[in-house]
Amino acid sequence: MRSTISGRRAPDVLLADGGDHSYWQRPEATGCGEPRCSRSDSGRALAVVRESGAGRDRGDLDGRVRRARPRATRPAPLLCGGCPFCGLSGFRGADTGGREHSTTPRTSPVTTCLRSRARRAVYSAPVWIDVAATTRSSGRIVALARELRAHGTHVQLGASRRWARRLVRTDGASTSASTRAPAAEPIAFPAVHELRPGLWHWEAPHPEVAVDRALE
Amino acid sequence: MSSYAVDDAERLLLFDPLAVPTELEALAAGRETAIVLTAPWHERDAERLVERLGAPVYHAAGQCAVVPDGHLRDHSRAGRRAAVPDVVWLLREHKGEARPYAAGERLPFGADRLPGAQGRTTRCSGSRASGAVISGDTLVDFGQVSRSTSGGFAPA
Repeated sequence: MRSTISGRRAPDVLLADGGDHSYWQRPEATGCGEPRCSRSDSGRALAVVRESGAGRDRGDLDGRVRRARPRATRPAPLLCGGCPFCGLSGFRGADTGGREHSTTPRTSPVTTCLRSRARRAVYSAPVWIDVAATTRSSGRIVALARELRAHGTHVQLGASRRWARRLVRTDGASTSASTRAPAAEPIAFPAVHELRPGLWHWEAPHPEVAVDRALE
Repeated sequence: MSSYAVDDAERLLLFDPLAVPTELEALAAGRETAIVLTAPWHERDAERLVERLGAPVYHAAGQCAVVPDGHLRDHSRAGRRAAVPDVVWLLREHKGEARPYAAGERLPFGADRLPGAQGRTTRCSGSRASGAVISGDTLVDFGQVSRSTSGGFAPA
């Protein structure tokens, strides 16, 4: 099943991380004919979204979203600011033993899109930020989320069922601007423990949790 | 999410590394470093570490494979339901040195890969190093509580 949303109804979807299970691919790399970017281009995608951010016309974010069928391996392409990119919502539930794998809807960002309300301004619709199982972009995600909130954007984090439940709770809620400072703070992780000589153990929260805490 | 490191003064092994502490990254600079993934979905920060350290990545063979559409297919029960892109950067994009290992195989740095639990949805390996067993996702409760004991270890 596919549906198309374009123009002012185009959703704001941002896969800020593109980590372990969500990534970007270039069309020439895949040969699939669909607009993809490699995950290494997530920084570029971020730049595109930022450049098309506050103060610009909503048209910069006009785009098209095609809805993939549930659990499809096809990504949902999104054309943004003339730069085609898309996100593959394949969050696999890292460290959940695959339990979430079969239950997490692969079309969650598109679902978010479909739930988006008609916007009154740039970023007035929720922006979904994928936080995958990597900490590489945590600081950047925090900074971006705060920046978006400062512009009155409702920010959604993650792709897990926890996020999905939150989405259900917050969908349709009024958007409120955040007064938080946009500067990112480093996310603190517990110290490493030397269990015995030459053997270390450390724990780190799932990046989604870490970012969530940093935003609180 | 647990990660481990084993150091024998010559080599540093990073198991399922996520947010590697700076002191260990500094140690890695002076060691022959390798990354060991107890399961392909534990890639976590492996790609970034490969970029920075150039370390080879040991991963469990047979748990994932490149399929024609370019994704990786997990041969576990869960994986058969949908293709997943685990370690696609390693096996398809060749951004690092992939060193697959099989159950029962002794890895060159002196670790044995033990067969993982035959859970309902995951097939995981245990890696023994420095007198410890790193269980990966082998010890996971798939009951109502869904309590994970991932990353436990015991004397070998």
